[in-house]
Amino acid sequence: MRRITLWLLSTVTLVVLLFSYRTSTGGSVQTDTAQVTTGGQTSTSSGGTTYSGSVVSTRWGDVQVTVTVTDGKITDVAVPVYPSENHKDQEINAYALPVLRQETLDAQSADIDTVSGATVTSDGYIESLQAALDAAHL
Amino acid sequence: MFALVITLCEQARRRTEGWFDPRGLPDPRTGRPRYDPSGLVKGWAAERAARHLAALEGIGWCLNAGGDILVHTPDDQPAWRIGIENPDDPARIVRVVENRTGAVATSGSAHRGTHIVDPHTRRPAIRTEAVTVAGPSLMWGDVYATAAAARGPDALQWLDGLDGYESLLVARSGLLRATTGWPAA
Repeated sequence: MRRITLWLLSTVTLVVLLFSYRTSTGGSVQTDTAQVTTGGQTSTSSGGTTYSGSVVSTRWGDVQVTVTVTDGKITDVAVPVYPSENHKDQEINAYALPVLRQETLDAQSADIDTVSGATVTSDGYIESLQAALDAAHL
Repeated sequence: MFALVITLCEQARRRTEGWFDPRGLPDPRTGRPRYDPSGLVKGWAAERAARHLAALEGIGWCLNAGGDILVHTPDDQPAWRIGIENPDDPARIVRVVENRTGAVATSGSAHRGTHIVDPHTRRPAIRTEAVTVAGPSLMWGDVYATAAAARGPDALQWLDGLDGYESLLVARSGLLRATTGWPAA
């Protein structure tokens, strides 16, 4: 129960932090997402730091989430590792994963606080995200 | 705790005239029938977790658990603005609702393929793309939304009769329909 509370509260934290999102003047945050480290961090060219969550195994494959923090604010979320074993996975992920980021960015301009939609987020995403947030001490 | 979930699911099955039914739902990967209470437990678990937030005095909060929303606003703060995802284009919003306290749950087949199943035919329910239910309880909102998505367009009349809950339905055609008490755009 406590584990569920922790990751749900961290989703709240993430939502709160994401909505104080400021576009970094240096443009997009980093191009070296190919580097996959477990719970590690890398510096980006625009001064932010990217924290990687652990690689989590799910029924459909591995998932890893990274969070980029600049000046104490989350400025980017990326999913460098996601299930892509079969065609259906690729179809779903090509559609769902970019949307998870875009949904956040569009929410800013629509003057809304949060979005209600049909469940999509895999357990692996949340678990890896929690690890990334822990690594960033958020 | 599992016994509690089963009891709640039974109650849900009766309240939804059989349209919420966790028994014998096909596994999305293998197609084999299994007991799947996920249409109830997600809202139930989020609601239990939110008790910790509800205990905070004078604090406004918003909990989003994979698209299921719970909010609370103290008197001196503005209401939360909750976007409802367009099931055809999740990057876009079909409606915005303002809510001070309560839950907003959405069920549908927009993501992860079709996972809403008609419990009577055991086949995917496709006529309704998404249902959003707003009301006091996230667990019941989740249950009603799931049942309505499985039931199809006929669900509107049933949803209209639910005390304290208002709903928005997005049909496959893109047509939006809402219960009588749903806030005007």
